[in-house]
Amino acid sequence: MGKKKQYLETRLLSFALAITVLFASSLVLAFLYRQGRIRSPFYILFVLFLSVVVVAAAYYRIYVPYSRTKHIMQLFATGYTFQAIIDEKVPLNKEMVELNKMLKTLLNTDQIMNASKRQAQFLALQNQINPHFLYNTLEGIRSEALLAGLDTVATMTEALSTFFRYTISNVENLVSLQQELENTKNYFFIQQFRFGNRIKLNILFEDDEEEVLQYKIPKLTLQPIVENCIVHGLECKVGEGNLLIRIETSQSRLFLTVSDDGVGMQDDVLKQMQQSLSTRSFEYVKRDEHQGGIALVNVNNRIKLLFGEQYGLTVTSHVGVGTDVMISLPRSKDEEAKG
Amino acid sequence: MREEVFRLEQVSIPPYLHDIHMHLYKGEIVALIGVNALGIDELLEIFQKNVALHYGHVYCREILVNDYLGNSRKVNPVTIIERNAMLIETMTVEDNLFILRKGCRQHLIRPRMLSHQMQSLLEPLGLQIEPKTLVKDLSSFEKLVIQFLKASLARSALVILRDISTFVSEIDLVRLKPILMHLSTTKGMTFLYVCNHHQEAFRFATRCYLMREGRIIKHLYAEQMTDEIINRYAYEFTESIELSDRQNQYHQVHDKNPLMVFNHLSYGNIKNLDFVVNQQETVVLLDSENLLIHQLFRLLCQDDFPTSGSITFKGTKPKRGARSIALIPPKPDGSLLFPQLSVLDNVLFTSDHKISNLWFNMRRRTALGHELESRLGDHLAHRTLGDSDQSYRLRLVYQRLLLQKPEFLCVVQPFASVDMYQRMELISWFDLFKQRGTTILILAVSLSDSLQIADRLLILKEGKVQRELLRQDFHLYRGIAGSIPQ
Repeated sequence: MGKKKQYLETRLLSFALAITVLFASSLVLAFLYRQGRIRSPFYILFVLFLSVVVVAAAYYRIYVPYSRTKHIMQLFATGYTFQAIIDEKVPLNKEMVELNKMLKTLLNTDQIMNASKRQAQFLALQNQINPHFLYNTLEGIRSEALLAGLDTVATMTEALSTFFRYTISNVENLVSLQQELENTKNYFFIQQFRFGNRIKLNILFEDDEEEVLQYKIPKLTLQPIVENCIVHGLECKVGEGNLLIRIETSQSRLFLTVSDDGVGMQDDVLKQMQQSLSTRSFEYVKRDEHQGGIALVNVNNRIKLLFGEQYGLTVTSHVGVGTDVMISLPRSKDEEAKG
Repeated sequence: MREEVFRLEQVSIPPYLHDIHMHLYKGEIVALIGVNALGIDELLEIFQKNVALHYGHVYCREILVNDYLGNSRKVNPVTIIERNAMLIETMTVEDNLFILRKGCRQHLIRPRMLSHQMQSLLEPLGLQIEPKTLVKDLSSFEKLVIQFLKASLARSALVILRDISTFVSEIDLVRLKPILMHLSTTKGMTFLYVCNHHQEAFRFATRCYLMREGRIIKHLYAEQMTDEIINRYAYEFTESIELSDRQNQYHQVHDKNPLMVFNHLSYGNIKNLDFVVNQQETVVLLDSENLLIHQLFRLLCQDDFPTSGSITFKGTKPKRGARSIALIPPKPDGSLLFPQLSVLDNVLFTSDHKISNLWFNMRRRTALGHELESRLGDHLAHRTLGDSDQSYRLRLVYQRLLLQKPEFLCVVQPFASVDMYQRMELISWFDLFKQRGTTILILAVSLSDSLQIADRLLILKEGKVQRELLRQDFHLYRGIAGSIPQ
């Protein structure tokens, strides 16, 4: 019974009932007053006072929660939030609760998470190659290269093999920042075979490095962003390109900022990207990979699914200056994802 | 690990703010530079109050204080320091600091103890204020420091300094840096320095957020805070002011016919001030101590008489209210416009000497209104100022001056508290006055972009002109300037 009163529908009916009773009472009291059966206007004033109390209660118990629900629905419709509609404290009615439950099943986090993770792997690999076949082949190439005295080829093959092993194997959600940075450096090392010393990577720790490296972050968070910076930012740049990964922490957050001094984004592209990051949609899975930015949206969605809507990516960019991607994550050493 | 005092995550209030992400740590000075003014007021309000958000989360000292699901409308422990000081002028400094504060539970006031406490607070800051000094007797700089102490005593999580260079002199800005550093390092105070000029911000801040159109467009860390990077964001400004045609008009040699003469003037802090503004010349008078310009403007307005000396216009004492002289106070968008009048009447307010029977001839006014529509929008005669923005209001003020066609124009701090686009527009207005042969005197506490429109810079110190620089020597100036002509 107590739970039922949480519905807006019940509150609205209670309000209608209270108003009807008060209206009827005031009519009866006015009639009695006119008839002279009651002499004091106190009773009428008391009913008026009760009416004010009922209206005030209706404002706080009906209008305010209704406005909130309406706002959440607007945000849901525009893709800003999924969770808030499920967690709604004052639902419209019982049917709405059922509908939210159904919605929760449809938006099953695990299923979307898996789809998202697969997409990340797909983006990293570009095609579906049997992993074991790939590792064995790469090991074979490496052995041949070492036997032939081609150290560079051997090193490159080893880096590629390590990169694939990290990307495909161990499909856990969270890894330590150290592991993710190692993979990113490894990826960068492979790219340097292509770009030579034209591109440089720096990692800057604003706080205690040893401590920070233990923090858990979603797997394949940094590498896709670094890849994006190289492909869309530095590759088209004439001259030297610099990549900087800045790591900051506060009491509850871990901030990773990947900055490049590449060509930057045009305003319309940036706005589109920011829109994709601030709203939640899985439309990007269908997008053409050449459009760019899929990796960023993917990472953003995974972070939001794992930790909550307040975390995720923020992008700023300017033509000729470069692009900054800031990743906001909860500061945690635990394996469990925290919301 | 640093202690975070404020964090804004994905904060949006369309159309003013979009996806704002900011985080401020304890004991740091962070700058917020508005390339344009859109969203700055709303952003600062979010720091101060928990207002309704379209989306986003606001954390103060790691506690969620506001989000899109509900707002408490409670006030956050944030102090904002701007032109209008939050001190009570008629009370003493001690009273302002200790009595007028939340949580003061003393029933008996012990003046000696309060004075002692005040001195112990002021000592590390290198400031000396006599006990029982009234706030109205303090300089702008002293008031500023007292407000810092008040914020410190109130345990503010954040102190927002808004456009302080518009009321604190350049010398005082130099003195301010060690004080800010002291307060941030020893007391752990966090400052958000809000201004429009990067040179000013870079002097104080360790990090910097650039904002345009209600979005954070760049988060600059210490090593990125360079002119080179900033110029990429302000290329429209650089391109428009460095046009060779524009620059050439300032290199033309003028006849040295004195128009406005300040002859051995003494009044208040002004001590034997002696200088001349020649016809068609633009002179910037920089009051490096922030002691003179308000007194000088008062004399120009003829609100008072000089103790000795005189001001002459074309050899005679200027007539009060003469249309040949235009005097523009600071922030004219608020003080020179009349909200009850139509936009057209506001613009034509000082044109009655040019058009006979202006106020009786509605047809003439309507015709003028049609001519101005391309610049100021439609239906000028039927539209009041309403909620028009600062840019539009400034445009009205300068359009009025253009119609007035004064021979001498004196403007106080024209570039104070205006964004980059407004500064660009102001520069083009001053160029237009220059082309029309108007003589201009700019009174300034901080230079901002004044040098871009100046032929001569006079630096005032100790009541008189201490140094004079001609346009070709402006690069020798070593103080803060928004931009210096090349």
